[in-house]
Parts: sequence; structure tokens; C-alpha cells
Amino acid sequence: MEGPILGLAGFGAVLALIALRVPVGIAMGSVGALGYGLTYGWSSLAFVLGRSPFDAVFPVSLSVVPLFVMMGVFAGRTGLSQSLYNLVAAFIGHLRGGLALATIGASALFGAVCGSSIATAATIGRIALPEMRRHHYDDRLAAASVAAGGTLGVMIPPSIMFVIYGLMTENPIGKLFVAGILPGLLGVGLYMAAVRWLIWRRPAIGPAAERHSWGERLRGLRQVWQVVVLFGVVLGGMYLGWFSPTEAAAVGAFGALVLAALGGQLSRELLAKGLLETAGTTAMIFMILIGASVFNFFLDATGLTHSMIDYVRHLGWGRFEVLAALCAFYILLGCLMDSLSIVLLTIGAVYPMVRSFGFDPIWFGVLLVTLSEIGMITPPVGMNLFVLRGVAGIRLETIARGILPFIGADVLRVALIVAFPLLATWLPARMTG
Amino acid sequence: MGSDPIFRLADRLARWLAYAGMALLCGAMLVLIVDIAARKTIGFSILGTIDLTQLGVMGCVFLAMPLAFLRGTHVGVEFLTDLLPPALLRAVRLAAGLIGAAFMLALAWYGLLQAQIQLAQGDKSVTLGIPMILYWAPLLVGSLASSAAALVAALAALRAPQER
Repeated sequence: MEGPILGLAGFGAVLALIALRVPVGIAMGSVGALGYGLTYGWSSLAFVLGRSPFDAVFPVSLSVVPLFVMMGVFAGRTGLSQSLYNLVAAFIGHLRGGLALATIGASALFGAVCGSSIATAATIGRIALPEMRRHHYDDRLAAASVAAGGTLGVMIPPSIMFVIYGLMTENPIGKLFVAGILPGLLGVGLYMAAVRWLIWRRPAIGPAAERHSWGERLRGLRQVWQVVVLFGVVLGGMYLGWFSPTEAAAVGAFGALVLAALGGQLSRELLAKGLLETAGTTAMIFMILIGASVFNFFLDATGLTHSMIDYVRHLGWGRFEVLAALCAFYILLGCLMDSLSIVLLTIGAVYPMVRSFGFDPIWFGVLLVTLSEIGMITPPVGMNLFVLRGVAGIRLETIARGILPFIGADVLRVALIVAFPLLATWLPARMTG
Repeated sequence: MGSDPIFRLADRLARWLAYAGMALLCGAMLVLIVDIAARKTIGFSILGTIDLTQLGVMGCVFLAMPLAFLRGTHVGVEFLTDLLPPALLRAVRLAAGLIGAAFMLALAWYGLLQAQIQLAQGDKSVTLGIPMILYWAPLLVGSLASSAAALVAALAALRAPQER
């Protein structure tokens, strides 16, 4: 079998193993190892399997991953999700569709802390769905706003996705964090516009909830201001060049522990559960990194990337045809896998092609993360839809019918990011340090 | 799964390994915090923060790995096989577990060969001169324990067919 064909077969084998419940990192690693052995011989495989796990974890820049995970875990375990939802609902819950808007806002804020769209949808779903049902919201609007809102936080820093993309492509993590801010806020705005549009068409699906007094709103603010300050210090410190990303992550993790202690919540049980959750999430992320590292050895050996570039050039495609094909590819893949796995599985092959067509790497990182998240809510197999079915017992068809306006909002966001690359590149260009 | 005595023992061991890894990460975090505080206040920087951070992260990642295998934390796609008949689903889960166990065992074995080379060469970290074998230790322990954990999880799932 020729190298590039073997490479494509390798992608197919990884997807087949994933479909058969093999964890993503293991699927990539075992196919990569077998493929490399077939391509370069089994004796050189010993070096790849011996070095890859070490080299995939050893770089000091990767230390931001467990530290930011720890920050998110402890901020989340101290009731942040409920506080954030209460706060946003106190301000806008009295509007028609206000609780769905609050769900979007709280999801964006909590997702920024938590970093996982599935976890955000599950966590906010448990809080927001009962509240919306109590106020007689239509299930389609309620479930769709939770599923869609879950995807927002991945764009808003500190984002593990951007850390991984930055490390895999050797782009500055601080700039990627900052690059995600405007597209992330744009996503929040467009989702809120989608809710307003739905309410404008059918006002009965999102009745107004009770109005909260300014006293209640201020109480809500008091519950979250410390976390907001912590985030301000972490992100502001990086933006202004006070800290390296690793130091900012350490400040964030330490700060989250201190805030939990000051709030009297850092019990032995919470500490143990938080540490084990951090350990589990960290191991999960790095297992995929290790698998991707082995798989990328195999891809390099097959020469698939260069063949893809040559093939696309042979087709005579321009930049935007390539971009359109990539958009379709990532949305399709996003229906089957989580965004982290998608990025790690494909970036080795796709990134050189993207660079060869002259796309800005920071801008492409933002686009890639946006695209992979769209798949998470695209029926029939978007993973956030399944999470909602599990959390709330809402039928998949119901969620799928409600989600369409949000997918429309996402498509519009992608179009805007493509048409106006400054959305992703303007802020990073103004960073100091 | 939780009522299986072998699984419970494995879970306890994996938890302690994970706590040890998290202790190393917290140590690295504290070193970074003290370094920032000292640098911003008295202009003094701790020597070797990078070496210590790398050691903390290596420990955290690899010592946490067995727990992730036991508790099924690793990212996978399950909905495609959820509709399979129970017997076939059990076979799929067992096969997935065995692939995981074999892969982690291969990482441990070939990692050991690489670690022996670095030990023989007396390689040390750049700033503090920490022997590189200490960086390899969590990798070897974690990979080997992960292989065993993947096997235990697969066998435990086999004995608890009603859990999907």
C-alpha cells in the first residue's frame, strides 16, 4: 500500500476503533504504532513508542493544562455555576425569553472556567432546565439554549483548546487566548439574537419570569465578584505581560483554592474530589496528546500531508474552496467526536496545508475551534444533544428542532470570522509582553 | 463494577497514585507562586522553576492515568454501540479494554528501554541537575499501572453486563 493511502486508511482505522468504544487517545496511539511499524519497520517503532509519551508531556509549556484544569474544577465545585446563573437571571430573567438568555450568558461564563462544552451543557442544564420548565418555557427553546450555550466557553479564555492548538502548531498561547475573546463574545451575541428572534416569532415559548430587585442583583454580584477578579488577574496578567501562561495558570489554580478556603468551602471532601477530578481530566487530555503524538509520527512517515497539499493544488482550488472544504469536514467530524480529539487527530495533516495556502495561524486556530464546536450541536449526532437527553430526558427530536436557529447563528459567526479576520487578529496584535 | 473486590482494590491504589501525582503538581504550583511573589517584591527569582514544574507535571499526568482508565474518564464514543445486543456489547468493551491495556504495556516496556539509556548516560535536568530517571519514573509506574487498570476495568465491565 502506498504511503498516503496507508495514511488515509489509518484515519479510517482510528475512526472505526473510536466507534467501537476504544478511547480516542488509545485509538490514535495504537493505529499510529501499527501504521508506523508497517511503514518504517518494527525496530524503529521502539524509539517512537519509547520517546513519544515522554516528549508529549515533558515541555514546560504544557504545565498550563493541569493548572487551568485545577482552577476550573475548584471554581466550579464551589457553586460557581449556580451563582453565575442566578446572577445573569437576576438581571435579564424578567424579559421574554430572559431565562434562555441567562442560560446563554451563564454558559459562556461557566464554560470559560470549565473549558468543556459537554461538562458546561450538563452542569448548566441541571440548573437552568428545571427553572425554565417551572416558568413554562417550551422544551425546544430550553434544551437548545443549554446545548448551544455549552459550546461558547471554549472560545473564551483561558481555553484548553487554544493551549493544545498553540502547542501543536507552535503558536503563542497568550495570543490565541486573546484572539478568542471577540469571536466568543460575538457567539454570545448571536445566540442571544437567535433567542430573541424565536421569541419574536412565538412569544409564548419563553414567558417573562419575575423581575428581581437591585438588592437581589447586587447580592448575586457579591457571590461571583472574587472569581471575576481572579479571571481578570490571570488574563490581564498575561495580556499585559506580567506573567507567562504557565505562571498565570499557577496563579489561577492557587487563587481558586484560596477563594474556596476563604469562602469556608475547602473541606477535606471537596479537596479530595477536586483533586481527583483534576487528575482524571488531566489524564484524559494528555492521553489524547500522547496518542496524537504517536499518530503524527505515522502521518509524517506516510507523507499524507504533502500528498494532500499537492492534490488540492492539482485540483486548482483557491483559498476559499479549501476553506469551504475544511469547514464542511470539521463540522462533520464535530458531529462524531469532541473538539479536543478532532483538533489533535487532524491538526498534523491539516495545519501544513492551511499554512501553505497563506492563512493566518492565529485566525485559523479561532476558526478551527469554532467549527469543531458547531458539530457538537449538529443533529443527528451532536454530542451536546445526547448530553441534554441524558440530563433532562428530553427527546432528541425535540432538542434537534430547537437547535436549528443556533446552528444558523454559528454559520453566521463563521462567515463573519472568515469575512473579517480582524475579529480574531486585532486584539492579539495589541498585546504587550 | 463498584462491588467487585478486585476493582475496589485497584480503585484504591489508583486513587493514591493520583493523589501522589496531584501532590507533585501542587508542589510545582507553589514553587511558581513563590517565584512570582519573590520576583515582584524583592527582585529574587527561584532557581530551577522550570525543572521542578516539569517534574510536577510528569508526575501529575502519568500517576493520574490509571484512575482515568478505571473510571472510564478517557474520551470515547459510546452512543454508536449502545444499541448492540448485550453479548456483543460485552465483547466490544472487552476488546476496547484489551487494546488499551496492550498499548499502555507497550508504552511502559519501550519507555523502560529509553529510560535505561538515559540512566546509563547519566542525563540530568538543565538547571538543577535532577537525574532524568526521576522524570521517567512516573511514566514507567503510570503506564504499567494503567495497563493493569485497563485490564481490571475491562474484566469488571464484563462481569457487570447490565451497566452500559
